Amino acid sequence: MRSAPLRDEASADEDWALNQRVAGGDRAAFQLLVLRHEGRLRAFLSRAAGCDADDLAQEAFVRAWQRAGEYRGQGSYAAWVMGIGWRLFLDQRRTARRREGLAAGEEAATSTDPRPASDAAIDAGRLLAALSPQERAALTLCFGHGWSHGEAAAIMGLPLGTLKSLVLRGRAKAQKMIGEGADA
Amino acid sequence: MTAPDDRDIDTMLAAMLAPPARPGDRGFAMGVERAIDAQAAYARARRRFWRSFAFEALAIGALLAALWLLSSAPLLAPLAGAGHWGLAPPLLLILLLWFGTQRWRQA
Repeated sequence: MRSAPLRDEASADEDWALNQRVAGGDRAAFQLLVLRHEGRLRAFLSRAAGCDADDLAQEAFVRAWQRAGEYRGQGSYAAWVMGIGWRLFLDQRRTARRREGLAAGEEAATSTDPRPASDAAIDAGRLLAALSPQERAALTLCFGHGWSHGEAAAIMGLPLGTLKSLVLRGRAKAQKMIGEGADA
Repeated sequence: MTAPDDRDIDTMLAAMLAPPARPGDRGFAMGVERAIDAQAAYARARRRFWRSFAFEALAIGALLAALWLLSSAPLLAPLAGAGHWGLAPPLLLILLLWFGTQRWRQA
């Protein structure tokens, strides 16, 4: 379950070489990396985070610039930068919840999300609005972007089993909703 | 109409969640560049602030120590009456106010 561009070894090597230059302070190399990966990162974050996706993506790239020396080439550059973006999203969500005084657990963002309208607007359809951000992110990474379960788990910082559960649960919800829509 | 099967669901999800196939967004890349510049400028300003804060705190500490030493020197006691030393607290207050406004201006 992996798309051809991600499997491209040459592309990964290029990313690694570019990041080596970025670690040395090369802005032009960083521009190239941004242009290569921004589409995928923004698409991923827009599924998970919604309206703040571009801000999060920008912040993720700023962090990637600042921490270029920390990327050691294990896994692809795209996975690394997506992991940064995902952690930023989780931090932002945690801060927002704390500010709003919401003591709800992780799953509260499913059907009891206080912003259902904006969540619905961010997704490809109403179908995805019914999923939690974690489920959306897991489905987006595995189905939309073609990452393997292991890679998606690494990006989201989750154990493999948890990621697989999220994918199964999200997929089952999607199937149910599509089925209900088809029967209606 | 029946519910879609597993393969249909996978295909639908893949189509729905696939990233857009488009060239890189130069506008976004420029925005990232500007954000990096802004962060660097902010970091420089912070460093400048703390450096100047450290120096000024040191200077005020030295001044306070000097005043304390002067006030406790028996040699100077006959030269300065109690009224003179009584000026020290308001003067110090002015100094602290100046220090505070400097910090506020630079923040």
